[in-house]
Amino acid sequence: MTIRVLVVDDHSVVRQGLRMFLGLDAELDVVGEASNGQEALERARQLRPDVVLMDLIMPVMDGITAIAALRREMPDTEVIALTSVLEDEKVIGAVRAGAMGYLLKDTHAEDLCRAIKAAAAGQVQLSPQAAARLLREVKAPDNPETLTDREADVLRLLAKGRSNKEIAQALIIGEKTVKTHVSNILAKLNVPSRTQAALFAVRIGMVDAGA
Amino acid sequence: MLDEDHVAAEMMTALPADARERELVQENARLLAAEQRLAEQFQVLSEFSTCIISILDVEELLAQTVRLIRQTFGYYHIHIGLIEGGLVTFSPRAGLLRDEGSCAGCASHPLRVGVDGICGRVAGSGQPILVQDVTRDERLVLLSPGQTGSELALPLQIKGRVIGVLDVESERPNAFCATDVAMLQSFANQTAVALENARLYKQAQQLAALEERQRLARELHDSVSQALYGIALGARTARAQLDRDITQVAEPLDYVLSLAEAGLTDMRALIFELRPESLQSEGLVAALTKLTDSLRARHHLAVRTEFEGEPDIPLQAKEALYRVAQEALRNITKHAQSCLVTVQLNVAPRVRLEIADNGAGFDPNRDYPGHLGLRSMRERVEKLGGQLVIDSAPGNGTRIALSL
Repeated sequence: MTIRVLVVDDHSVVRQGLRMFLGLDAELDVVGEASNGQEALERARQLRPDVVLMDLIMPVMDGITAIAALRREMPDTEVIALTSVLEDEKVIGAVRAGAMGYLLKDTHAEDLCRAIKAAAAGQVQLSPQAAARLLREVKAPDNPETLTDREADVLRLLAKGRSNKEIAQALIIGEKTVKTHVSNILAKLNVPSRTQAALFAVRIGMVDAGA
Repeated sequence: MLDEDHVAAEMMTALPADARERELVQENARLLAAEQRLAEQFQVLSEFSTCIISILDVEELLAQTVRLIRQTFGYYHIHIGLIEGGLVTFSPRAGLLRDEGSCAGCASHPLRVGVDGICGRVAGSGQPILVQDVTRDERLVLLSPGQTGSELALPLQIKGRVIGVLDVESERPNAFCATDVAMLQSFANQTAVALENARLYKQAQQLAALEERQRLARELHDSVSQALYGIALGARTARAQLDRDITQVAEPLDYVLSLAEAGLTDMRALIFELRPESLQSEGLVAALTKLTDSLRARHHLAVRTEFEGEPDIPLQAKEALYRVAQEALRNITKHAQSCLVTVQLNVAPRVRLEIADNGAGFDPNRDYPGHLGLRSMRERVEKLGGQLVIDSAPGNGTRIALSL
């Protein structure tokens, strides 16, 4: 099954380049483009993509605002921030808003395909630079509810970058069950994304940062 | 300046009288002379205030101030020190010693605030110090080789903060009367205001430079860095297609080439902006051409240009025209969603620049919070005594015309 991707960037040349490059990978299908956050929301409602590649600095509606709205409205759609800026404020803003990943517009384009696939599989993937900036910032949620033992197991694996399928295999449960556990974890920790849940797990020492 | 004794003598010969009367006349003459001198000093002070407030270079400001104090009062050593990092520092140009145009002696001896000498103490306390006979004062640090008899040091203050010290020295002991002290303090106060003014001006300039840098950084982000990313994507695509399907290589390569071209044009336009003097050497037409080339390459807009020739106007006016064109074109790419842009420059009968597009348009009578572009455009033009006409309505395109 192909992964349906929506490309959001205010520069048409970048959209064109991304479409061309992602087109090389048979598993990826660029189903649409948008040139700002507002348009991204409209296109996402129509197209229901699996993954949105979101630029951050855009006119009309910026990427971070769009990510937050997208995650609220369409929790099944994962978002990867793709930007040329590496600023704490932007990285933190994007991840707080619920971005699954944060990638830089640099020459490592092959990472892009991998990150899209990982996001679609529910895996948290951050560029090492972005992760380093985030760990300092992630705050423990106010009064997190206690996780069940099973939820803690799921969170531990999730924080290690495992996909839902891998977690299901490791715990010998169904993939649907994993998804239910993940939603419960997000609700209990009061965070909008797996990324933040994973960072929280690292922060409180459930797993090693390098794991 | 008036010679008090001379006036007194004149009046005495004019009015012969007995001893008591003579004494009175003498006293009156002295008072009159003193008053005239005071009036003259006030006159100088008032001229001084208006003159120095417009000097924005600190060194020049201080040099002018000590020169004027010398002209008015004639002391043999005058110096203004400024407080920096706990020290009162005297620049050579901010001082006068006898007939020399400056005073280098004090420059090599910064004084510790609140510790060294009379000036250091004034800097620390903000209170003036008058020493009528320096030979009897151990606080004195003699920085200039000379025969100082009496010394007066006054604080330069802004809102209660001491920023410097005005130091005047006379060869005579007891050279300063209460009026001198008051008058010199007025000079010191005016100097402090002018210094603060110069500092704020410099700060504003630095802020403007910073804003300009941030704008250039944004431009670089919007143009060159996006083009380079596109080139990387295109090259990778071409590389992959080379192994798979060689007939598919042309498309990504064409894409790479068009981006490289756009990047180069943008780079040229940006470098041009970093060197405003190129507006002088290459001219406004060349600058507008670079700007419109970059618009075509980067935004794929149809741009029609009609440049009648290089206008014969000062550099400052050319820069204003260029900035207005730049702002107008930036607005078009950001908001107008237009497909045809016209840029027209006429030089006769008068210089006129028009930028028009067939895009979305806007209501020129409405406020657009956070959008200062139009306002700064108008300010630029008004500063030059020109006219700016903005003609636009939603759905009807925009026409911006500037005439000088």
